[in-house]
Amino acid sequence: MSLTSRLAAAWRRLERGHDQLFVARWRQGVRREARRQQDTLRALVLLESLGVDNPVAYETLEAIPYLVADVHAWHRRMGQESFGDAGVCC
Amino acid sequence: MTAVRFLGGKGGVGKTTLAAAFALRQAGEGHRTLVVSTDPAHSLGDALRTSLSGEPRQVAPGLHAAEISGEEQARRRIAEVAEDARHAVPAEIMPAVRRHLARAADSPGTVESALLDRLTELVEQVGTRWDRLVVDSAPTGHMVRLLSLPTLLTPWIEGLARQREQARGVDRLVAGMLGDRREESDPLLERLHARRARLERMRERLRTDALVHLVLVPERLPLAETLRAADTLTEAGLRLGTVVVNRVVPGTETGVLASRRAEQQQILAEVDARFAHGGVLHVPLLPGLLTGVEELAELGGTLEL
Repeated sequence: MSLTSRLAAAWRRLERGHDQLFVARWRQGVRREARRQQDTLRALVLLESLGVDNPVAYETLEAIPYLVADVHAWHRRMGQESFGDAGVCC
Repeated sequence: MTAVRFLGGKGGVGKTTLAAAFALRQAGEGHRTLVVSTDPAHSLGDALRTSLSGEPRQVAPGLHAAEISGEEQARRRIAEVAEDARHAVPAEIMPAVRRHLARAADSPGTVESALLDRLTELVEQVGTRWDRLVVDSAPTGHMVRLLSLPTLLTPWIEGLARQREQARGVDRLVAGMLGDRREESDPLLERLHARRARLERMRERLRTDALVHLVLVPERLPLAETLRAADTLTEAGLRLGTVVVNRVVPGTETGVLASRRAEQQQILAEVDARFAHGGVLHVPLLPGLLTGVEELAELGGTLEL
């Protein structure tokens, strides 16, 4: 094995290690943040389902189909054919 | 000349009669006029001695009238949203979408928001289809709430849009890291922005292009309510027009009416003190109730608002 390929292999190992140590964690953190933000929005718009009054229910009517579609895509990704609570999704 | 006029006051003070009479006057002066009632207990049709619906109908030369309802508008809008959704989301979730829509329809505030939505449609036609819009409002509290709704709702919608934007921003960051840089438009965000812009336009329109005429009869309780309404409306950024005092007993009366007149004079002095600068108009107590186009037009002739 030439010096160059040994060096290249060592660099790749180092890169993988760095990825596992730092990047993966950070990426996970960012993803978690993204999910949290989306969950907050869903909760705000679908408040009635939780029995909470939503003062802008009428103004956000158009958003409902998209949010239900979001929830649907999510439970399918999680490997669940149905959501469980039939009132929320399918 | 302000194009949009609201007539509001306590129930039973004669808002509807005065609104119809004033609208007839406007129409008589050659302005294409629409008079609408927003009171859930509509009586505009009774005043004009005809039957009215949510769609404007001609009732006199140059004058259209309608009785609009929040429930009707909410039903129509939900049907529209469900119809749009059929093309945009998977069929298997449509039952869930319908359930959520039904719940939103039952939410408190929905009927009011829907009524405002319908009123916004009509206000947006002022300048094209109508020259003047006269609104026979529901009793004071209801009207104040309706007129301050745009101010109340805008921050909510803004908050939701900001929330969505943040979520999208983080999403894009993740997508960028994975080398997936597709830019998609976000229908939800677009709709939220459209709603917000519409409310914003209505709020601006109400501030610059509308006058609220408070109507009262010269009695203690209506006066108290009128004073409160004036403060709330001014706080909400609305402009007050001439205040109308209805059923003022003329000085020529004797007997029971003469003693009523003495009581009324006190109230009238208080009204004058508070509203002198915007103008106060007295409408005399009439021997009978006015209904129908001709009688109302005669009353309208005296309404210099």
